[in-house]
Amino acid sequence: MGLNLDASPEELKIFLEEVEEHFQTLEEDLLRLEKEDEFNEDLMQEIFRASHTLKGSSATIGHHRMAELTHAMENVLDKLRKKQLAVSRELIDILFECLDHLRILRDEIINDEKSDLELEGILGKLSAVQKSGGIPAGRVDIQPPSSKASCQESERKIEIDLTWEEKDRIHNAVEQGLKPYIIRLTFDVEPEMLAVRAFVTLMALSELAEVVKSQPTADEIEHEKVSDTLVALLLTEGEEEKITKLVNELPSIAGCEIQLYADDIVRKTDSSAETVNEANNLSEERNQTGDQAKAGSAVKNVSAKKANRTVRVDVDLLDSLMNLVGELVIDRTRLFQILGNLEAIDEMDEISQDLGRTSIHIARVTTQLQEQIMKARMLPVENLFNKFPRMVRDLSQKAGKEVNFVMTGQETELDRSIIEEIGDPLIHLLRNAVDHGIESPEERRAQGKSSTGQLKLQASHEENHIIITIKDDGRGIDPEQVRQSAIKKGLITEEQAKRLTDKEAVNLIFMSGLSTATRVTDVSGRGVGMDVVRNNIEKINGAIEINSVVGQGTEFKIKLPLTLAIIRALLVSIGKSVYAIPLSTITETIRMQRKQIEFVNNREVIVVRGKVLPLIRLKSVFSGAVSEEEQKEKLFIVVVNLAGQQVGLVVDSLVGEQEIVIKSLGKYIGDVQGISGATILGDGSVALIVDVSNLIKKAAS
Amino acid sequence: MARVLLVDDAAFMRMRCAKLLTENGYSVDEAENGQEAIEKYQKIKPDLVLMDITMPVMDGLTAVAEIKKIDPDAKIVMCSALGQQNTVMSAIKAGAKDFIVKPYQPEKILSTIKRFVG
Repeated sequence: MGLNLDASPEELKIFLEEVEEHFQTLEEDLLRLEKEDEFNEDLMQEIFRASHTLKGSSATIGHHRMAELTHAMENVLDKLRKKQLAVSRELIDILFECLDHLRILRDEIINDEKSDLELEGILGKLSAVQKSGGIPAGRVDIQPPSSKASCQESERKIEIDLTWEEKDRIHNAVEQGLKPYIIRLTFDVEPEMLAVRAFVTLMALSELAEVVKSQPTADEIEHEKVSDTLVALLLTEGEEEKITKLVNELPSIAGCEIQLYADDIVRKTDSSAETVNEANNLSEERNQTGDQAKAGSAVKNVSAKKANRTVRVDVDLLDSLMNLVGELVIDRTRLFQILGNLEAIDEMDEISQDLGRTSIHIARVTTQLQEQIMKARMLPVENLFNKFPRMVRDLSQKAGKEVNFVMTGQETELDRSIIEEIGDPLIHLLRNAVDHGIESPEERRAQGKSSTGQLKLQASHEENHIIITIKDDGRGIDPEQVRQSAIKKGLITEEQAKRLTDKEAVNLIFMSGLSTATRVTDVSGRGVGMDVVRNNIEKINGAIEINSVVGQGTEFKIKLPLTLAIIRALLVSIGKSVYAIPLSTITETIRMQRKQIEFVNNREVIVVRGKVLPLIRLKSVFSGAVSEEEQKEKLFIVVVNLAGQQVGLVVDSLVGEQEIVIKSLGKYIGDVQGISGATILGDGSVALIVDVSNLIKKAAS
Repeated sequence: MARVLLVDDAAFMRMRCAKLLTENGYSVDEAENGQEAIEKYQKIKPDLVLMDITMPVMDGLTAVAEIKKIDPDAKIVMCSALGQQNTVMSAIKAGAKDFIVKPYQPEKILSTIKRFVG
């Protein structure tokens, strides 16, 4: 079922943008509110304002449930603001719950479908909190009653008590030619606004005529001693018509009776009755103009002025732009190759030189285009990080930990597809840190640490990479414990475990099926494990590294490429084919003699600077077994490193370093072991991209 | 053509209101908060100000008092939400002419404005 909101798509867009801003403000401020010990008026006001604006806007578009909830929130916030309520964790919890509900209500707008969210529960909680602090405020009436003033002649005499002085004043005035009228107005207005409406009405009347007496009096109105009726005795030189005209113009008046005041008679002249009728017609006419205005606004959406200099673009469009740029990058490489060939053949003639210059220009423009489009795809990680403070707060509360969560570098930009991919791994790592990393306050005190654990999430730019680190000062990962756990689960033998360095042992936590948590908690230790985290990161050509010191804490360092589409790679040749190895995985290249190869467990290894490096012959991986004769005396070895594991890839020769555009192999070929994709080279031939993480895993098994 | 100065911190509300007013033949200027409203008031001398109450930097109540100091004849209509009766009352006493309650009803806004500027 649609919501039937009263807003154009254009307006809804702005509405949603603002709503999102206010949600963010609320979330950040509520977290701050919880942390700060002293009453911070500015902060309180900001929270109140956000909720208040949400109320106004949502009521305007006719999202009644959102308006109802924000109204209830506002009542509580108002009490907080006025210090009639104290900040407590329970209260903050309730407000966060409100925020969650609001997000669902916001999604209703996006999906244009009512959710099955029930508000009774949260509204009950809010009103309970509010009542606990003082007098309850009135219920919100979202649908403002329509008002239509219509003066009627009254048969009944309108009564008002006058003092002798007042009667005297009237007597004198009548002698001077003024006419006394008594008027009774009934208001049709939100009950909360009754007093101020009556006040304004009285003010307007007094601008036209002398108000001798009113019931209630201005003073009583100010003190909110009002009913929905206002009786006033007026003295005016003008005709009754003037008063009825004014009353018709005044908003929120449902009924109006007017009589010429006399001590003993109740009479109305015929002429005045006619005027009243005329006035009625007038007010009807005005309503019609109102309707026309409404119809007009529906048609003329376009005229709204905009100062915004941004354009919303579909992600698909950005993807296809990136793809096209990829093609250009390939052609750039080809152009250079053709140019090289021309130079090699002969002395360059005029035309060739011209072609050369143009090629160089095209190359430069292509590079700039590539950079710009990559920038267009970038989003600050802030969008992703924003939800973490709240998450960490909830987690630490559940786990009974005290955590000080700090984020830095939110402005760091990343390709949006990478941001989408990195969310889940980060959530997992943060959960782990809160649940397993940081100790309980008692345990921390026992170890001489401060009872509050530090958790830091940091994003930064480093050369052609983005580094995201998650660092806690908790108990750290005990390599011995990991070894034992891995042996118990049958992942490695005791023999293997002994040979592992501590760092390698810690890296075992990335193996599937291994969890060091002795107990499964509500927060983590079930479902996806660290192996999934690593797979997700490697899937986007990233790498993850652990630095952990027992008793001092753990640091996860995630290295991510700036973009998924174009990477720098080392081209190597194996036989007649060229392969590309992502540069981000390479630590070094070595030239070796064949006789330097040694064997451990019947597997080929070499010793580099005292370290044993397992070898993988790419030729045997990709084109089957290698015969003895084919083997060359001199070998090129590309040392690759992922998550601390090093492997040497044996290749025939090194071709060069180049920017390559990643193309998928397509559904037809599907997944090929050891290959993550393909790219087109300068000469138009295809090179396969080596899937390093897959190879390393293979070497390990 | 009467000039109306629209003061509200929510761009959404301004957009909506501005549309209604321009369609009905008013010339509209906008301000995001009380401070800006005062500056714009001095510059353009609008015939009417529609003033929101809850705003950052400077709230509507303060702005009414300030504008009244500059121009005692200023016509200001408060835009209030439910639950702000006391503030509206103070604003009226400070010199605001009338008030309208959110959510706005187009007819109400128009008739209120018409009453003051024709």
